[in-house]
Amino acid sequence: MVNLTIDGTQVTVSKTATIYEAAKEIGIKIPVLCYAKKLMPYGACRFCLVQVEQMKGRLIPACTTPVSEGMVVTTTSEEIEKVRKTVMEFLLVNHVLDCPVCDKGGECDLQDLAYEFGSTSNRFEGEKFDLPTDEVNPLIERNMNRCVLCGRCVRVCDEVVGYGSYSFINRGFETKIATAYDRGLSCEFCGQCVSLCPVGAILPRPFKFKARPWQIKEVDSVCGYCGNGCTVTLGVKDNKVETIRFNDEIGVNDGNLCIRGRFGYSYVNHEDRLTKPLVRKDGQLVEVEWDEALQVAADGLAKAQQGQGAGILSGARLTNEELFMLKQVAKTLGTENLDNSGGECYKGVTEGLKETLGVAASTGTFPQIEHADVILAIRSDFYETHPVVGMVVNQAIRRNEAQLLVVADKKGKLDKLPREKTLLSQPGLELDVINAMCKVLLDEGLAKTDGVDGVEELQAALADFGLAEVAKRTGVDAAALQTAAKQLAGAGNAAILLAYGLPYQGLSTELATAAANLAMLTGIAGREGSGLYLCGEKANSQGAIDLGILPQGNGLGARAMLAAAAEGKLDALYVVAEDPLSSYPDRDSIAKSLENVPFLVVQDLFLSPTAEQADVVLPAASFAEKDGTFTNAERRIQRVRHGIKSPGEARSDGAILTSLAGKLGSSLAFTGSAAIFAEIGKEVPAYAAFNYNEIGPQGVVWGGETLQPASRKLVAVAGGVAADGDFKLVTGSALYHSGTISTRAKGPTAVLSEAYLELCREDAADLKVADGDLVKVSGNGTELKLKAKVGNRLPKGVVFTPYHFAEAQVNRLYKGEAVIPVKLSK
Amino acid sequence: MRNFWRDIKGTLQPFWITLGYLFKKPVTIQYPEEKRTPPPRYRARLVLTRDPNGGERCVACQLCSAACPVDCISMQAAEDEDGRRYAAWFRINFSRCIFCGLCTEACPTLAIQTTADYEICNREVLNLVYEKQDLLIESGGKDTEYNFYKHSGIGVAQVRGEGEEEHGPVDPKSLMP
Repeated sequence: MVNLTIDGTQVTVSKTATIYEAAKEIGIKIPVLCYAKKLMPYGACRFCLVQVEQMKGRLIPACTTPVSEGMVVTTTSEEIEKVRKTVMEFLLVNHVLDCPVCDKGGECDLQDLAYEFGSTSNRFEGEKFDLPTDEVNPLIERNMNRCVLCGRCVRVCDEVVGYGSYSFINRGFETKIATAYDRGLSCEFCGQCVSLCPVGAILPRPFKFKARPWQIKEVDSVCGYCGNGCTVTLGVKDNKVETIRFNDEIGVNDGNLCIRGRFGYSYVNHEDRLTKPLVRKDGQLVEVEWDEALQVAADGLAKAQQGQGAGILSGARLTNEELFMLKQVAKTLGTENLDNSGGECYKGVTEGLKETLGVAASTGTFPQIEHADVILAIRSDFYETHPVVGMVVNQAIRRNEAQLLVVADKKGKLDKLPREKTLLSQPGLELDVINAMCKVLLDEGLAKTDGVDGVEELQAALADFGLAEVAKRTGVDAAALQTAAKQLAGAGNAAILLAYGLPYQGLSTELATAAANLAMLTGIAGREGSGLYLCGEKANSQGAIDLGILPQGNGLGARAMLAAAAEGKLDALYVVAEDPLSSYPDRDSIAKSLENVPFLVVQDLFLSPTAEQADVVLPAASFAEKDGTFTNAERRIQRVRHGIKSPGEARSDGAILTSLAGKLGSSLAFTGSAAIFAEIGKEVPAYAAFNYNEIGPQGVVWGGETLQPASRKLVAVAGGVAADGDFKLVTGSALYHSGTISTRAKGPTAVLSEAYLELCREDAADLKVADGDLVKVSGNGTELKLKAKVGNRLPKGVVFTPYHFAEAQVNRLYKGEAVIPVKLSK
Repeated sequence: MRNFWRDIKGTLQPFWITLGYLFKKPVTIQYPEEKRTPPPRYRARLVLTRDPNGGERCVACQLCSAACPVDCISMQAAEDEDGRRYAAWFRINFSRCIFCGLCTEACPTLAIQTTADYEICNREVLNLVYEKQDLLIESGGKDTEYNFYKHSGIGVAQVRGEGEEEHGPVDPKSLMP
C-alpha cells in the first residue's frame, strides 16, 4: 500500500493504482475522455493532467501515472484549468457542432466536459473533416467526423474482444480510426466499441433517433440468451425495450456483451408474439380466454396421466422460481416424466461430473479465468457459445500472459488469439486427445493422484491412448500434445472450458468425464483459482440442473419421452419454452412424436413449429417481462427484473404454472418470487444460504468461488469413433445466435439470417463451389440444400452448419451424433 | 373633532378622484370587439419555423421537451433520405402549456418560437393538442436567416466545410511532399 495526498486529503491505495484511481477512491473527479475502467491506461486525451509536488515544472497525466509514496497531488488549479480548457479547444477545432442531431447528446462525455469548462468559443480555427459515415453494416454506425481519437474502441476491440477491427491510420491532423483498408466495418458486432465511445462517433444503428438518454428507464437484469449470465441493462421507453444500455459500473461482466446480448433484445418486441391463449377446435387453433385454455390443458393432462401418462419437457430459459413451479405441476399431476432442454447434452454435468467429482456444476467462477496461467478449451466453439467468457480468456492472455490450449476439430475465434496452441483433431476424436493427455500425466508421473480413486483402473483403460497412436488417429502432433499436457499440469492456476448444448449432444457425457479426469490429474478440480467449467447453452441451464428438472424416479427423459410419444405410449406432452421440432436432433422422429401424441400443450413466446402442432398454446413472457433468478454456468444466482409488460394477455411462465397447478388441484400459492425462492432453499440446500431480496448486482455464487469436489473418482471413457465418408459434418452454434429464439431478433438476423454450410477453400475448389452457391448435403438418409460459406476455419474434409434456423431443418440430418458422415454435391 | 374633519375628507376625496377619471380615456378594451396588439416578444402560442431554404428547422433533439416544466411537448425523431433528422410527429398539448418559453430558450436550431397569438381558447380540451401540421409555419419567425445546418459543420444542407464559420475539408494527400 502507498500513502499519498490528493488535494490535501490523505489516501492509501495499492501500489498498482494510478493517480486517477486513487482520486476516484476519495471521490475526487478528474475529467477524462480516454480512460475506461476495463482498459489499460492509455493517456490519449490529456484532460486528466494534474500537478504533482515532486514533479514540478510540468503537468502529469493522472490516468497513466502510478502512485508513489508521499506524492502530493493537486487536481485543480488555475493553471490546470487553463490547460484543460485549451485541450478542449483543440478537440473542438475539428469537431462538428451537431449535438442536436447526434444520438449521443445527453450522455456525451465531450458535451459534458465542454459544459463543465464553459467552452463557448474557440481561439483556434481549422478545417472540418469530410469523412463519409460507415453505414455498411446493419448494427454499428461510425461517423468519424465526431471522433476525438481517444482510442477506446481500438483498445477494447484488441484488449477485451481480441478481434482487432480498428486501428489509427494517417498522421497528425489527418489521424483517424479505421478498419483494415479503411473499408466498412465487418466484425463480430459485439458492440463493445459502441459501449465505450465517449462521443457519438460509434453508435448503435437499431437505436438511431429512437430516444434521448434521459427519457429511458434503466432496468438491470440478466441476459436471457446463454449460460454466461451477463448483466444487461434494459433501456425501456413507452413499455418497449428500445436498447441495451451500456453499463460497466455494476454487474459481473464489466459491461462486456456479445452481439446477442447487445443487439438481440428485439425479439421481446416482436409483432409475432403470442398475445392470447389458443385451443384447437375442429382442427383449427382459435383464440380463447385464459380460464378455458387452462381448463382444457389441465383436463387433458390429468386424463393422460390416468392413461399411459403425461410428460413435461421444459426449456432452460425459465427462472428458478418458474422451474420450481413446473416441478410442482409435475408433482400435482403425478408424473415422473420431467426433463429440461436437450436431454442428452447436459448429461456431461449430471452424469459425467457427478460420477467423477460428485458435483453437478462448474467448479470455478468466470473472473478466476482471467488469472489462470493455462487455459484449455475443449472445442473451439466455446467462444461461439459463450462469447463473453471468451473475452475473459482473451484478457487472461493479453494481461496475464496465459497460455491458451484448444482441442478442437476446427478453428475458430479462440485460435486467432496470441499465445494460443491448437491441437486440431479429427472430428469426434477430441475425446482421444483428452485421454492421451491424461495418459501423458500418468506415465510421466506428473499426475496429482493424492486422494484420487481409480488411478490403476484408468491407467489400464488408457493403454490404447499412447501418444503415437493417438497422434496417428486424431492427427494431432504428438509433441504438441505432450507439451500441452505438461503445461496444464505445471500451471499454478488453470481452467478447463467445455460448453454443452443442443447441437453438442454426441459424446457430451464422455467428454465431460474425460475433462473431469484431466482436472483431477492436473489438480485443477477444487484448487483455489483453478476450475473446470461446463457451461450450459441457455440462460438457466445450471438452474434447471440445480432444481432437478430431470427425470424423477423411473421417469422418462426428453429423448425417451419423445420416443414413447412416437410409439403411442405417451398420452400427453407439455412443452414449456422449447421448440423440439426446430432444435432437437432428429426432426423426423420428433415430428412423428408430436403427431402421435394425443394431447400436446405448448407454452412459448411465439407460434413455433412445435406450437403449431399443439392442442393448447399458452402465451408466455420473455425474460424482460418477469422477475426471478437465473443461475449461470458459474453457479452465480442473479436477479432478473421485469422492464416491460407482456404483450396482450401473455403471462409469465410462473403465473401460468401456478394457475395450472391450481386447476390440477394443487393448493400451493406463493406471494411472489421471493417466497418461491425461500421455498427452493428447502429443497435445494445450496440455495438455502441466500435471501432473494439480498441478491445484489454481483449476484451470489452457491458453493463458493471454488466448489470443492465431493469425490475424486477417475472414470475411464472409451475413445471416439472416427467417422467415415467423404465429408464429416459437425453441427454447432454460430457466434451471432443462441438457440432458436435469436432468429426472431432483428440484430442477430441482420448479420446472419439463414443456415449455411461452411467448408474450406480446398474442398470448395474441388467441388467447384463458390461462396453463396447452394450445396446438396446428403447423409443420414436425408438430403438438404444449404448455402455454401467458404472460409479457412475448417480443415479439409470437415464441414460445419449452425443449428439455429428452423427453416433449414438441419436437425433432419443431425440425429445427435458427434460427427455425421455426409456427401456433398453441387 | 379632528376625526370629524378627517372623515369628511375621506368621504369627499374618492368622489373627487372618480370625477377626475370621468374625463380620462378608459383603459378597458372591449374584447373581443376590440383587440390589443401585444409586444413582439409576447409569449403565447408556440410555432415551428422553417429555415431560409424552406426546410423544417426542428431536428427532434428533444431538448424542448426536456426543458418543459409541465411535459407538454412530445415528439419522435426520424431520419430523412438525405440523412437529415426531423420530427416524424411533434405534439404540443396547449391545455397543459404554461407559456413560460423555456422550450424556445432550449431550442438549438431556433425551430420552436413563441408568437403573439394568444387566442387559442377552446371548449374541447383535446382540440388544444396541436400536431406538427398545426404548429409548422411557412416562415423563419423571429430570425429568418439562421440555418442550423450551415453552422453545425455536417454535410446535410451543404457540402461539408462550406457552411458559415467553416473551412473547406482537408485532402491529406495535398500535404505530402
